[in-house]
Amino acid sequence: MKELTRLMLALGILLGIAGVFILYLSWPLLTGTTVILKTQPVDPFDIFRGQYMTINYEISNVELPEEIKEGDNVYVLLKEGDDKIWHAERVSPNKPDNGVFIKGTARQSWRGLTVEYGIEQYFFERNAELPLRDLDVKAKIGSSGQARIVGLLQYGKPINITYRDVTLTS
Amino acid sequence: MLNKKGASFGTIIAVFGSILIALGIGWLIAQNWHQIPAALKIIILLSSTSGAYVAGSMLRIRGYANIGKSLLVLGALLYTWSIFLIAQIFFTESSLQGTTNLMLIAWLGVLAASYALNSSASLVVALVEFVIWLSLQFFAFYDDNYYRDPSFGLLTIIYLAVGVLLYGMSLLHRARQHKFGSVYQWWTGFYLLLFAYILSFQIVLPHLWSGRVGFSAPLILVIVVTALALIVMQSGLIFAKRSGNLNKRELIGVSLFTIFLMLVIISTIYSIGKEGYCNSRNYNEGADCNRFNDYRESCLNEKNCYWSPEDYNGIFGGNKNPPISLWLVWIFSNLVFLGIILVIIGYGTWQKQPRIINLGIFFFALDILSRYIGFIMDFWGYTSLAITFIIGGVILIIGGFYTEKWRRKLVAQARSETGEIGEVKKEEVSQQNAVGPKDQVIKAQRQQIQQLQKQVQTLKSLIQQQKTKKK
Repeated sequence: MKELTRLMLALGILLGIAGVFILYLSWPLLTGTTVILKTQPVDPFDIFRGQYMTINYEISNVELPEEIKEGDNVYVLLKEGDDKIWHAERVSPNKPDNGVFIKGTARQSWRGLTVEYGIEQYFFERNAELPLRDLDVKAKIGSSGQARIVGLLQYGKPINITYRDVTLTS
Repeated sequence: MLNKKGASFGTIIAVFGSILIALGIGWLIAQNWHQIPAALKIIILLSSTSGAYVAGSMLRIRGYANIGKSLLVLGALLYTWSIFLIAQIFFTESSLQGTTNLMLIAWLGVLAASYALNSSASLVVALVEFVIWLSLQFFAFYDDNYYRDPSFGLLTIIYLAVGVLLYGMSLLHRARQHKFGSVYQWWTGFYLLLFAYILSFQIVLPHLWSGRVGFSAPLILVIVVTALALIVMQSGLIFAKRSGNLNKRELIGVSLFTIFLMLVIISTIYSIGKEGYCNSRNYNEGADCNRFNDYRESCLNEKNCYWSPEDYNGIFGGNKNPPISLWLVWIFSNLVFLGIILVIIGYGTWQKQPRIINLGIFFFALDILSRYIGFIMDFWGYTSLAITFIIGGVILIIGGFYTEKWRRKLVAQARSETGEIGEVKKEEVSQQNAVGPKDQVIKAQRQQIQQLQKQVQTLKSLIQQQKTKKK
């Protein structure tokens, strides 16, 4: 095989994988329903991927049916409240036939059995300054229950993240 | 170092340069990350990856194979970096399983690109990423279960199976005369040596089975990886036999040492002793686990307790003497390690492969150094430590001198038999003569030019004579 053919093949594979990956990640953002979820954040640092905020949702601590064990899939049916926040209405191990629902996994922690939805991290760069209280998350949920974060809100408005003294040497 | 099959010094330096560029680009982008729109971020990442691959391939076409190689490594690293940063753009989960999935995607891409481009350097990146992915996946399974601690014994079995898998891949590729055959062969040797080296530390052994082993996802991973390794090895054997490339001595050596290493891993279950601490997992409830101190089995059966084995002779202040059984396993594991080193050196000499000999000698020196430090830490106080350091240092310098002499002799022997100019002989010649080999070449070339000039002169005069005769 010629070198150029090899190169085209390699780039085709790499860009193909990256393209499918990007499409998979952006699918709920393109097709999903927008919801606003209530949070309780903390603030760690990930050595692999930089600074991020771990978000603990109100719906992370829902009461789970007895048959659900650690590692099981959980479907939480959501309903919008008068405060414009989406709250858990019903929790089930089975996928609901209709309505807006979010898919999660039951996890054991020191707080007991909680639910993780794969949207527990919000990444930003180092030296970021942002409010940490009374935060809500604007997310989009696809038809399969997969969710992606759109942004952070405070009192219904997008938060303003500022970066202090960021230089190439900082 | 002169080595036609191995990486040249320039290549190694260029690869280091690639790693630095990858890190530099990563940090530079990270510093200005928030100012760049998401779509542009993705374009920058993918175009820089593609750019490195295109430049690497073009340089290979134009005969700059070594620099091309390092740019392909840079491309592989940038691609891996891109996958992680794209995931960050979309706020995907940063749990251990999330990170593991990203590493899997990166590894698959780099591996496929290595085969598409027939690039050994890129394959090495893929092999490293495979081991990282497998390790992350192992720990990610434990991350899913709050009441289970990692069983390092299972992880060592996985790592051993990877060694068998690498050997199987080496057989498969060598059967087809594929150039990756020698890459997999060298990495099998390196991998098994590194594995045996880690097991040669006494402090490691008691920790192998500190977690509970039940039928769970990590155990399934062990079964899957082992089965895959055996299938690949079996296929490699069949193809190598058909093509007439099966080396029976090599096969016996790899099989024997794999069994010996497996014996070391399994025997630690029975030899680690019962001394250790049973701690509570849940601080709030304060489960009464301490009553199971020095009762490993009972501790592991308690859901809310976890086991910390005694660190015998450890750097963290272990104060108890290890049981005789642990000593025996430790001695056995060291004999196995030494055996692998000697067999690899012997194999390299027999197959006339200087790279394999160098690998064995490197680990031999590492073993001496590690055991020397280990012994003085375990058996001597500060005054004796100083004296032992001095005496040991003298022994090491003399030993190092003779080891290097031995290595050079073996390498020269291997090279002279393959018809290559011995590196050592060249070094000796250059030391003995005041004029270096480069000057000698120039001198010889000048003489050749002078001779050619004389021949041209005689030819010219002959032509002149013929012309005058015709006239």
